[in-house]
Amino acid sequence: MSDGNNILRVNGLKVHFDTGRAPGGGRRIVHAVDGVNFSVKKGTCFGIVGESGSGKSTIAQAIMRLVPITEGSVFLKNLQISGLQGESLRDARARFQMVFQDPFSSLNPRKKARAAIREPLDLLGIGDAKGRDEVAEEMLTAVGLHRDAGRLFPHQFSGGQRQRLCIARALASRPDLIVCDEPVSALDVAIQAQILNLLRKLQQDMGLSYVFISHDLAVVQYICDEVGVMYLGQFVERAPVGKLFAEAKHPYTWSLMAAALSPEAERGALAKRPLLGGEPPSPTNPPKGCRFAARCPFATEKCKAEPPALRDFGGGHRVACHFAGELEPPIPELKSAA
Amino acid sequence: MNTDTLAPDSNLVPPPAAKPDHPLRETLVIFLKNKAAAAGMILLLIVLVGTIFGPALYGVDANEMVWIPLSPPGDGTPLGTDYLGRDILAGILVGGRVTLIVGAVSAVMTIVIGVVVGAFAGFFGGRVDAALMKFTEFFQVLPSLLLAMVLVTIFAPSLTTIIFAIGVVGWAQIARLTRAEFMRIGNLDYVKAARAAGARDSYLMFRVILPGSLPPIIVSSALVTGASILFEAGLSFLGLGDPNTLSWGLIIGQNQNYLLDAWWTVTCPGMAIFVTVLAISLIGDGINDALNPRARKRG
Amino acid sequence: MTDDTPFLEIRNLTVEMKGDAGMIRVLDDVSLSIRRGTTMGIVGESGCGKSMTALAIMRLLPPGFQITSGQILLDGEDITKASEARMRQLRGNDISMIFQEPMTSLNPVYTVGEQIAEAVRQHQGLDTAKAEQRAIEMLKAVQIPGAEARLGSYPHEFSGGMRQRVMIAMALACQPRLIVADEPTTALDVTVQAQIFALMRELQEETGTAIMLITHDLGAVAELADDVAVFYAGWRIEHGPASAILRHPAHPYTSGLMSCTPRLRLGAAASGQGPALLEIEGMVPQLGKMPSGCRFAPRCTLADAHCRSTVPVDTEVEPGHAAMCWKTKAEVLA
Ligand SMILES: Nc1ncnc2c1ncn2[C@@H]1O[C@H](COP(=O)(O)OP(=O)(O)OP(=O)(O)O)[C@@H](O)[C@H]1O
Ligand SMILES: Nc1ncnc2c1ncn2[C@@H]1O[C@H](COP(=O)(O)OP(=O)(O)OP(=O)(O)O)[C@@H](O)[C@H]1O
Ligand code: SF4
Ligand SMILES: [Mg+2]
Ligand SMILES: [Mg+2]
Repeated sequence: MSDGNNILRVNGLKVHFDTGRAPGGGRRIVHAVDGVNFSVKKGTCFGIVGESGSGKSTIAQAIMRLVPITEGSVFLKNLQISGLQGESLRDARARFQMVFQDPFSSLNPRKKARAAIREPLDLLGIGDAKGRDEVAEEMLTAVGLHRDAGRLFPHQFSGGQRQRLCIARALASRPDLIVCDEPVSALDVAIQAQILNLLRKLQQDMGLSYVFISHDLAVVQYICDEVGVMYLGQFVERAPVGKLFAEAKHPYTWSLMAAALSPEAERGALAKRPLLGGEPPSPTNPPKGCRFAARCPFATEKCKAEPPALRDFGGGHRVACHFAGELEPPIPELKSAA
Repeated sequence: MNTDTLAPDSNLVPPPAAKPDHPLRETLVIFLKNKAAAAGMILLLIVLVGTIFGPALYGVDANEMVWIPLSPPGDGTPLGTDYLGRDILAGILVGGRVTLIVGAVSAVMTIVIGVVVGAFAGFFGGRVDAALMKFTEFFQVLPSLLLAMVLVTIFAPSLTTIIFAIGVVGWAQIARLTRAEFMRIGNLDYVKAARAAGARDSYLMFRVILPGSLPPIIVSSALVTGASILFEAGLSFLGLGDPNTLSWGLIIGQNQNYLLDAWWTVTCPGMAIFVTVLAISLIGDGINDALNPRARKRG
Repeated sequence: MTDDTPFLEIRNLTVEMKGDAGMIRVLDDVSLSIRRGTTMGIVGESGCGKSMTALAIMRLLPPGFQITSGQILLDGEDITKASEARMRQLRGNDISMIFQEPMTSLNPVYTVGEQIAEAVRQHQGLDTAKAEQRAIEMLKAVQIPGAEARLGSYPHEFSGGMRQRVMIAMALACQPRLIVADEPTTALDVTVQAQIFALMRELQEETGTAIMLITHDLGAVAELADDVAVFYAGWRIEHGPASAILRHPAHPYTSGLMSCTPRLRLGAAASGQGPALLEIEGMVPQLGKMPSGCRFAPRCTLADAHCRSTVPVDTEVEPGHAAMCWKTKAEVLA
């Protein structure tokens, strides 16, 4: 906990949304994030993967203080950003910034590129007008756009270029941390590769740290140093990237791996894999035992009754499964490694 | 329709001639090409010029008896005279000012109340929203003409009360629209991005979300202006207009008993109202079409 | 259930759009054919004309776009010349389309059951009771649990994956002979995508429908497609059997796409840094601003003066596998 190297520490984070009265009386509470711990070391990238609705974006927005935090704390270095309010929160915002998924909706259509990049500086009162323009141009070139591109409106850029603009904007206030919520999911493969490489390069050049959200395991493996696998508001497995992909131990992680496609795979390969059926349960009423039990091929009575703890398997590898380490992975590659 | 995007072969080089293409420019072009909207603009311009310069140019006092009462158009006066022998054309030219001012001012009032209520409800959501929307609903279910009549009767008919009455009864619809737009845009990532960049609530509401939600508000403002003019006419017609200030509605209202004998006394100011409302709604339609062309390219 | 007569054959299709300065070519001389009971994968970056091809087949091009030359033969019938009445008959009955966005392609004010039943009633002339029966069968076929009960649900009560299954159920309800699926899983999770792909394969085996699968994911192509056509800037720049193209692409653009795709490394392969992702620098040229010569030349590492000046011809590298590139032969030999 007291590791001075950590840029970000998230402790016991819970975000619950109250969505009105429940039919049977009481309130309907969405347990979007339900007790999440992790930390991000300086200059590294922490990845979060999981299904739609598992709470990935909610973590991102809780860190960014865009949704109210129900419980838990978030520290940026030594600053507890979860406790900040009003002006002190505004002042701290320069140090953590965000890149959103959809490059079409995350730029104000009425602001020219340069104004969009300058906006954080303007709002936070960093530097003088001339200095801000210089920063904007510097950031444009840093993300591989021409400095004159600042004169154009967002609709004059392609999707990939817009995502570059969003990155430039996030960089403008020289943050320590950038939270990227599926920054490449809306892009096609060619542009995705450009943006991933850009993010990597910026990380090296500027010593940036990222929280990187994606649902694509291959992308996460490419860019992240540590990964948390999320299911229904909680981490079911968390490990350094090499360990996770070499010896994943949670049945849900296996099912994500099984569903991944590869250009080299045989036609119809999916049919031979252990695919997950059904749908995740509602986050309004999470199951009381293991949250994955209803869909897990290995589930027992114990799983349905008792929630598994996130147990340590050494080397920073943690798994929340009662039978972690005892089960035979249904993925051939993992078997040979084990 | 084509936009100057960066040169295809490199990310680094914008084309030398790349002009910043404001997102509204295309809208303006579409609007200007719309024939119906252009007709509306011309009609409105005629009405405005007529009411601003007309009285001075025509030079007839609208309140004086100038000719034989109820004489038909062409028989001594261009548009005939009313039951007191006052010149109808002079009345229309002078009365237009009041009608248009009442229409415009009450429309502004309607829009301001509506936008403010809707903006707060849509932006803050939760309890603020619930309370404001209950309040709005209350105004929406009240029969508006009746409410306006009651207000005007209680406070004695004067221009101020009429404007106030029209403003009070009409804003609910604008409030709902604004709220919906604020909710929609408030959820877009660029608003979150601005907040993450350190924007205060007031900046988000009025500098980020409001400009984005203006288009539908502008369109319905045109409708509201038209409706306000009709409303003023309606009130005057029912005898609830300010009797001391001549307006189109008042001319109709005062002459309604002579409708069968002297059609022109009612028809001519009626036409003036019709043309003005038509012009405004044509312009409104034009703006609407320009803002929502069916196949708008997004790249 | 496959046989070698093409069910859909597109010959030299050109689609143009009205621009400020005359017509702009969106699809340029595109040819491809899909055999019965097989899947054709259409790949390419955003804006290369994949959806336009699909819409041209459906004859649902947006206003301002038109087919200016070429033929689309559906079982021998040229549908570019078909009347609107004939097209209505074909759409739904013989061809159905699954759109990318499952959230917006279902009508929110009707129940899912009504929408499927309506499609069946219109196209197959079944009566209300039979149509409803068919709707239940279809929901079962796409593995929606409690199909009878879900018939009365509205689209918003379904998750994205379920909605996409409903779309597939609707597309299949009339037993079409061709399904055009435009990025059917892009908006979905990998786990749901896997379910849907498995379902599409199963249904194809049962019914023998031909499928045109539009995607930019080469993994999806490997999983489902028998044949592939690669699109770039309105050209079909490579086509052939999926296995051949994915093993040894003949066009530099296709091999570029291959090396852009991050690969998942599991087990022993996961240790250490993976290979760097290569990039195809730059971006797809804009409509109406196409470079002369090969349209890929500005981004191509192999391009020379000849490429930049002269439009490449379709060159066969092995039977049934051709690429539109001057360097094809050299590259495959190398
Ligand atoms: N403002 C909100 N009010 C109520 N519920 C919400 C709100 N925001 C998110 N949720 C719910 O919280 C859960 C987690 O949502 P979240 O957006 O974090 O998921 P995600 O993992 O990012 O999914 P995706 O991959 O689809 O982006 C979902 O069930 C969602 O419906
Ligand atoms: N309604 C429209 N008006 C003008 N241009 C359009 C319209 N729809 C598409 N285009 C243009 O036509 C070209 C081909 O578009 P198409 O939709 O076929 O691309 P795509 O390959 O399907 O891409 P994506 O992967 O983004 O779906 C693109 O350059 C696109 O910008
Ligand atoms: S705890 Fe049980 S149900 Fe949960 S993942 Fe492990 S085996 Fe499956
Ligand atoms: Mg999300
Ligand atoms: Mg498309």
